[in-house]
Amino acid sequence: MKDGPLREPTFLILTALAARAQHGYGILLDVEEISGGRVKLRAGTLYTALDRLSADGWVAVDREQVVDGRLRRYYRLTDEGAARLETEVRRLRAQTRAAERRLRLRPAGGTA
Amino acid sequence: MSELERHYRRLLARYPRDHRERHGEEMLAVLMAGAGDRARPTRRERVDLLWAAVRLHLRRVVAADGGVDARDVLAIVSLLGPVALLAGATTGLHELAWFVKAGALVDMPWSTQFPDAPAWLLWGVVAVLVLLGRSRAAAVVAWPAVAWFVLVATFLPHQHWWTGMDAGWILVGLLTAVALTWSPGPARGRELVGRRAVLVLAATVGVTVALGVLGHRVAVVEFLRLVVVIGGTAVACGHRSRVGRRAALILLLPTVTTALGFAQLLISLRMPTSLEVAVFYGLPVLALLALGGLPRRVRRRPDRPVT
Repeated sequence: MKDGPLREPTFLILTALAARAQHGYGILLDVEEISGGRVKLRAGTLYTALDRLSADGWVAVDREQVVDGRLRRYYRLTDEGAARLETEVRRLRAQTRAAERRLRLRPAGGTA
Repeated sequence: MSELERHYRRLLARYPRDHRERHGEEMLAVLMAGAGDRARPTRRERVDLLWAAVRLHLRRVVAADGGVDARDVLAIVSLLGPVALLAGATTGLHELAWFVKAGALVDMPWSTQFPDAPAWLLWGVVAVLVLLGRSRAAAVVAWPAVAWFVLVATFLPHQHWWTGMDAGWILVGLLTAVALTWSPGPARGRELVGRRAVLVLAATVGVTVALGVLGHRVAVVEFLRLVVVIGGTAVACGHRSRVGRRAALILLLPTVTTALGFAQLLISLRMPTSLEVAVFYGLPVLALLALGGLPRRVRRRPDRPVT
């Protein structure tokens, strides 16, 4: 659903493309770094997600290169994709603040 | 070509042709870059590549637009399905009301007048469990409810409705049980449609049941029920989103099969049981798949002229 919360792999892929265009392998490495090594996307999952994100208009091909005889295609975040990521960031921030507020109200030592 | 590349190419050959032509070489480059000095793909790589290929094929068959995640559709069904199903008890409740009004409730022959009562009772329990956030327990209770539906429709067909009316409820019951058991569940469904959706659908079901009990077989009331159930379900599921519309289509299957049944009665068409089953169970499923296969509407970009 376009307006619902993003799944974690989608969020991480959009985040990886937020600052600059990247090729497939670059996205895989960046997602691992952004998630602190917790999420390791594989090629099949990545390209299934890119297929969907391209269809939704959130991601577009930026340029193509041939490096060492192999095709390297760079993807970038579209304005629509950036707006969607921004919305998700705001949603997560609001939830995080709510969680922080409630944790501060928690009695020291936990509940009886 | 190395042995590793040959393995990868064999796995990529399983992908849909258009995807292979567009991304095949690119994916191969990514796979080779991440392979290090391995001579063969790892088991997890194989599983990931094959599962991705299956998803892309399915996307082209059941959701060619590529934007509808079937798991999200089922998540909404797992949340709203148990509530929507309660509207199916209308006919039985009408019978019950008649016997209550006549002061003859103790004499009511349940096995003929309300044979599916246990199923609706179980769906009521499922709905409460879903609302309480007990989705595992709800899934466990949902399957006996489906089984009861099937038993009544199979072994008591003459004491029950005709196939057209049974089929929709059985299909929605089955899909709801599947959704509760294998989808991301009601919690995800609530994220997608919001808490208000349950209230909207519960109100819709309440109004539908009340109209059905009080105005049984009155043409205007039956038409009103139809409007309420279609409108309420569409609003509850989120008619502005494609995932929501897909979920609404599933929840409205009983309306579709009942309409088919009425059409059959109108033209007095007699069909052998096997054909009836094929029509009332097969057609709605095919229609769902076909609607899923419609390509998404292409939005013209303002910077591109219409050609």
